[in-house]
Amino acid sequence: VTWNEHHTRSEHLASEARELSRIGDRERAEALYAEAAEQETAAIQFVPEEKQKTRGITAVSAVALWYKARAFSRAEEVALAELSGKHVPVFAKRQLQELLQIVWSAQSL
Amino acid sequence: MSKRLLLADMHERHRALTPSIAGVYEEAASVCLSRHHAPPLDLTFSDNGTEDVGVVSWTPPNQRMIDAYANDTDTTEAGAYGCVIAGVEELRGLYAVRRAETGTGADYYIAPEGSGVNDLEDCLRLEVSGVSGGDRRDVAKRVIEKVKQARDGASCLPAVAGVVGFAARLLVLKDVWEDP
Repeated sequence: VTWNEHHTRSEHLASEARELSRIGDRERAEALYAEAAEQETAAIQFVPEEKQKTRGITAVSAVALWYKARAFSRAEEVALAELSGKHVPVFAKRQLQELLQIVWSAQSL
Repeated sequence: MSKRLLLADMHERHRALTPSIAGVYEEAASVCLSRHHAPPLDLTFSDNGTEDVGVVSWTPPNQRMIDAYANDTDTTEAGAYGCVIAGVEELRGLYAVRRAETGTGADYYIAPEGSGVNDLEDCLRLEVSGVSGGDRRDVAKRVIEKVKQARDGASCLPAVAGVVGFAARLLVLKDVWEDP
């Protein structure tokens, strides 16, 4: 299994989830977003250390997908794990911090 | 050779677009363009201020499509995705390689042909917007807003802001450079 395989599965699942969300089927959309997030989170582990941009984009996507699945604890966990890493690119750091704020706001509601 | 905005079969060239998404974008673009014009249409392409006139063709929508795309906001957004993605393909030779997931919205990552399969190291972020009515000044205003939004946003990845003015028959691309 490679980054591309996990990532492609995630994209297809997220695409289906967006369509369900668009037609108002929130429950099934959230379930599919969670599956997409699981795949994107798995994809992070397959990114070589030197491909920082790829890792950053993948991590931000994973956190955003957990948020869309309303799995706020998982979103927080993945974001904090990435932010504690040594090689987080600046763009990803900013996006992960912003996503954390959004997640924490949603958790407090 | 004059520029052409190719709205058909975009899923065959852009790996981030499935056939159904590409179909929606093409249909939405045809509805947006048909609000103001008939095909074929001369369209001005502006890339970082350099202008060129090209052409866009589309199949005019039937009543069923017009009814299906009756929500102006959603249709303008989807039509803009189609036109701007086709625009970066024509002007920059770049292709949509994945959708950008964010907490509050989404645009696309674009990259040269063949990129984006094994990694996303060559990609740029594409920020998209569409203006249904109005003239060139309204499109220019929207470009300024999108560039500011991209600079102020959480991402400091290099980005391209793309805005299409359907009534103004103008497609604008503008680079948003990486933070120092």
